[in-house]
Amino acid sequence: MSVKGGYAGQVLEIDLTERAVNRKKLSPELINGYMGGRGFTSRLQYDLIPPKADPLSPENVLIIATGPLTGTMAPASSRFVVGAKSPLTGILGDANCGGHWGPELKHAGYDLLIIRGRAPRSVYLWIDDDRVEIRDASHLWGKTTGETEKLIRQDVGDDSIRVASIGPAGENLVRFAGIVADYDHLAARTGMGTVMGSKNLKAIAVRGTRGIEVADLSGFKEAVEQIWELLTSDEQTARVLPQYGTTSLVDLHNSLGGMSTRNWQTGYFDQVSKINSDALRDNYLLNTVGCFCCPCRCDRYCVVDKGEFKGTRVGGPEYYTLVAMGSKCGNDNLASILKANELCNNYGLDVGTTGGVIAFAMECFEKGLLTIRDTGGLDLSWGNYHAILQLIEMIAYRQGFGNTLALGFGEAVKEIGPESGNYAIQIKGMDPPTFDPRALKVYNFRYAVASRGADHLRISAHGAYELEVSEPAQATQKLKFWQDIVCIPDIAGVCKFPYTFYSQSADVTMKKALQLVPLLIESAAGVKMDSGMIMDIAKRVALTERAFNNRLGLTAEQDYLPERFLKDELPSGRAKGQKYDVFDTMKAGYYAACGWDQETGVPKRETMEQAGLHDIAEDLEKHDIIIK
Amino acid sequence: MGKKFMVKFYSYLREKYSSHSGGEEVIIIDNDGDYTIEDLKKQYDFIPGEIGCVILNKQMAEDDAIIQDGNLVEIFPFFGGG
Ligand code: SF4
Repeated sequence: MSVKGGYAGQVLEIDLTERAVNRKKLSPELINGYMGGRGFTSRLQYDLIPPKADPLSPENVLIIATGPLTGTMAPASSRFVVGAKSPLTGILGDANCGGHWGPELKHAGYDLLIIRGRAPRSVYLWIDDDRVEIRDASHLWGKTTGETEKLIRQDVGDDSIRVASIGPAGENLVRFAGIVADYDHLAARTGMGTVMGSKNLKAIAVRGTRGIEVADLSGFKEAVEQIWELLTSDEQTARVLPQYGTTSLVDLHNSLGGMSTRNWQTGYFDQVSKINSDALRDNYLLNTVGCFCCPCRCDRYCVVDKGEFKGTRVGGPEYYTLVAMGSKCGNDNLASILKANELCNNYGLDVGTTGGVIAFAMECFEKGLLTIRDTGGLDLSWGNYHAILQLIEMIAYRQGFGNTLALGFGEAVKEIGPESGNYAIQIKGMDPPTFDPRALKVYNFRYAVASRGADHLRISAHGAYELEVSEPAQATQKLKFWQDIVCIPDIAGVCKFPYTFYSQSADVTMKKALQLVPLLIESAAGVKMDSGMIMDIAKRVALTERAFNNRLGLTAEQDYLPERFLKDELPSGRAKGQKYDVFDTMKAGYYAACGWDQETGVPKRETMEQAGLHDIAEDLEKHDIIIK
Repeated sequence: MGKKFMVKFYSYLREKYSSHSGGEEVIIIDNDGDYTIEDLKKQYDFIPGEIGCVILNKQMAEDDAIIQDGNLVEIFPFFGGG
C-alpha cells in the first residue's frame, strides 16, 4: 500500500567516514511491516548492523526514527527513537525521547536518519529542510549539552532550531551516555549517546519548516478531537499527570514495599517524605512543561533557590531520578538529587544507570570490597551526597574511580573483584529502574525478558495490581498482551503515558491504543489500519528485537533475575519476608505466551512465520541459531 | 452496634481524601448489616480512574468484600507504567 500522508517520505543517510549525504525514499515494505519509530529501528538494526560489530566501531549504525504521527497535530506526538547496538549491554540498544526535536525532523522532511561510519574529527549535523551540512564541531567538543545547544543556535543564527547533542560523557565513551534534546529531554537508556560519541558526532541540529501532509484531513481532525477530549477529561491525564508527573510513583512504590533502597537491600525507604512528590512541590517545583502538542504537561521544572545547591535549575525529575539518586543511594537530600539530575543532563548521562552504578559502588564500600584508597578519597557511605555528586563528574570525565564505573557493571566487577558481582544488580548489563520484583512479582518479571536489558517500559500494564492475583498462565498471557499494547505508541510516534497506562480504566487504554491510534494513522496516511493490523506489527517488532539478540548469541540463560531477588527476603516494608519465588513458572508461561522455545529462548519457526518473518528465521538458521 | 475501622490513603489520594497528614481516617458506621468495600467507595465518591487497589487486612479485596469491625482498609491510587 502506498501512503498519502503522515510520513514525510524521506530517509536521510549520512556516512560520516565518507562525508556523504544521501536521500532515499522511505520504503513501503518498512512502512507496512514496521510502521515507524521502534518498529523502524528494530528492523534496521537487524538488517544493517553486522552481528559482530563492536558497538563503538564505525560499523555500528545509529538509527533515528520517527513515527507516522510524530509532529502531527495528534496529541503528544513528540516521540522519536534512537537505536544501535548498545555499548552498555552488547545487545539491542534503543532509547525513546520526547520534547520537540522529533517533530522538527519530520517538519524538515525526514522520517528516518541512518548514520554510519566515524568522522575523522568532531562534527555536528545541521539539517535545514533540504540543506544538510556536516559541520566542524571542534569548538563544541568538551562542552556540556546545554552549552552545545546555545552555541549551535548562535552558529546558525536562529533561536528556534532544535538540537540533540551529547555531553562530555558521550564524548568520553562512558557506556551509559544518553542524547539530550531541547536541553532536558533524554534518549537516556542503553548508551545511545556513547554510540554518537564513538562516531565523533557531537550534535544534530534541525530546522524544519514544512508541514506534514494528511490524507483525510476531516477524518484526522475528528480522531484528534476524540483523543483530545479523552485526554482532557480523564482523571489520569487531566489531573494526575499534570499535577504530579511521574513523581507520585515514589510514595506508591514505597508503600507497596518495593522502592529500591540502598542498592535493592530493601524496598522501603524510611525517609521517603523528604524526596517524594509533596516535598518536591512544596520546595522546588517552579513550573510544569509539556512536549510537542501535549496537553498533559507531565515534565517538572525545578529550581533550588536556597542552601548549598542554590542555583540548580533542571527539567525534571522523574520518579526514576528520585529513586536512582535518592533511595537507591540512601540519599534523602532532595536538593542534591536535583543537582545530580542537572549534572547528568549537562554531562549527557543516563541518570538511571548512573545512580545504579553509584549504588553498587556504595554497597561494595559498605561490604569492605572498596576502601577510601580505591575510590581516591571518596567516602561512599550511604547517603553521602557530596560523594555522589563528585562521582557523577568523575564518571562523565572518566577520572580515577569514576573510570571504573564508567564502563558499566561488567567491567566494574572485573576491577573490584568477583565478590562484587553479588551487588551488581543488573540484567544483560543494564540496571532495573526502581521497583523491586519481590514486591510485585508478576508485573516485574518484565525485567528478566525485556529486549534491551532490565527495563520497565517494554511491558507496562494498566493497573499493575490485578496481574498479581491472576493465575500464572493467565498472568503471563496478560503480560505479553500489555507488551504489544505499549509498543503501539512507540511505533506510531506518540507518548506511551497518555496513550496507554495513564487512563482511568483499561477500557479507555484499549480505546486509545486499539481504536483511536489506528484511526489517526488511517486518516493521516490514507491506508487501511485497524486493531488487528497494529497488534500484528507490535508482535513483529518484539520478535525482530528478540531475533536480533538471539543472533548475537543471547539464549534463555540471559533471561534471569539477579540472585538478590531470588535468595534474599525483603527485610522491611509491606513486602517484608518476600523473595522472588515464581521465576520458573513465570518464565515458562511467558515463553509459551510469546511462542519461544522453552529451552533455547529462540522464537519458534511457527511463531516467526505467523508474523511474516520467514526471512529472519532463515537468517537465524544461517547463523546456526536453532529454530524449532 | 455499628463498626469502627481504619481507612488509610496512599500517595496522592492522601491529600485529597484525608484530613490527616498520615492519610489515616477512623470510620465509625452505624450499621449492623454487611458493609462492603463498594459501600465505602460510594461514601468517598471517587472519580473513575483514581483507585488502583484496595487492600483489606493485607489482602487485595474486591468490591463485594465485607469490612469487619477493627479492620484496616488501605486504598492505593491507580498506577501503571513505572
Ligand atoms: S505525557 Fe509528558 S512525556 Fe509524554 S508527551 Fe506529554 S509532556 Fe511529554
